[in-house]
Amino acid sequence: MITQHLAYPVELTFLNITTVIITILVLGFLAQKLQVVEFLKS
Amino acid sequence: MNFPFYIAKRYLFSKSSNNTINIITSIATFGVIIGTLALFIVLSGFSGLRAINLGFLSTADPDIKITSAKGKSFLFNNDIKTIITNQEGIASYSKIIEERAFFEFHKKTHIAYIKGVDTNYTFVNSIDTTVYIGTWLDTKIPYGVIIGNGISNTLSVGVFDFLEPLKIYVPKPGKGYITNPKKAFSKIDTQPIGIFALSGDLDKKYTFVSLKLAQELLSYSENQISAIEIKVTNLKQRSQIITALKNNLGDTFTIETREQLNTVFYKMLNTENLMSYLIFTLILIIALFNVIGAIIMMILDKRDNLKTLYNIGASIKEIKRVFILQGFLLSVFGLIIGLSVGIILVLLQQKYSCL
Repeated sequence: MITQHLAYPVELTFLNITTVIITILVLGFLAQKLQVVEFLKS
Repeated sequence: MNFPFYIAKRYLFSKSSNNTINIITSIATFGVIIGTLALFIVLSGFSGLRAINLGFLSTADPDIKITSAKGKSFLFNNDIKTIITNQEGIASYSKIIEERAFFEFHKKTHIAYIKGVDTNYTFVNSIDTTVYIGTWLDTKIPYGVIIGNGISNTLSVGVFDFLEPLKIYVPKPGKGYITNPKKAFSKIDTQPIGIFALSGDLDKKYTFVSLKLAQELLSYSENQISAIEIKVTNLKQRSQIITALKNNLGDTFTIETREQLNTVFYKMLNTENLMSYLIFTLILIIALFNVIGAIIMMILDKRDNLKTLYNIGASIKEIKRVFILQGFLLSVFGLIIGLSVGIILVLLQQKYSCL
């Protein structure tokens, strides 16, 4: 039952951990690739 | 050890002689940590909300619901009973009558649904666990009904009020114009014996009555019902059970799962989850632009070192890899710290319910 005292529901799932890891790794890799291509070219 | 990786690691953990570079690198790392933490906490929060909402749905809706493809009701004959009883994987089933009705109590009125249920209903759904005042339907109290918290508030009705009954009206079946409004409705006087509270929508929508009382109100015959709700023993076998039931029952029945009964709700949940993921990914992209800025500053700072590396034999490609790896390691470092803090916070919330 929903009451005022109901704690914020959170769930620790493997899918969320994997999603965060993949997102950071992909974005981090793309950012570094972009930086080196654009900056070190000059 | 790989030469570019070795140099990148040294550059990442060694302090620069220029303090500004150290500050910029720290801010960039902090940005990645906060971005990772925020993304993880929001995703965990949405998973929690999803779980709690699906919990409510599984309390109110069955694993499988069979309704008539044509018309509001059908006859639950021996053929249907045999098909359902002989079907493997069905834990229990319940006969249901659902109809819109008009409720009146002390001149206050409300339009909601009556749900006539048989004694098996509590084996299919655990809605009886949400009754917080009074009791669930009892065969000893034939005119007893269970009302939702919302209906109770709207009509100002409590339980076991013996002075005033809760009147339920439904239109009488038939054709043609209504000439006398007093004769156009069937009416029963009922006694609320329990109030349930599950979610705002359901609490205003349903009033549970016994199957016999619903049949009496709607002038249905003894075997006439509007749906069969089924609980399966193993949810993984549900699609096979539905296929078998469709083959045996034919096209005259519609068979739906809990997800199909709440398609809009599931779509809304998925869309909200995707949108929050995209918004927080955008924040992470901005944080990673900070990392790019920090690495560029570091390249400018290490210009003399790069000349030395080049002169002792490092190729341009290897020097480029040093900075790709350094930025990547900085992101991974932020990821590990942010994710670890996020997991700890989620576990603390689960254990101690701090917020």
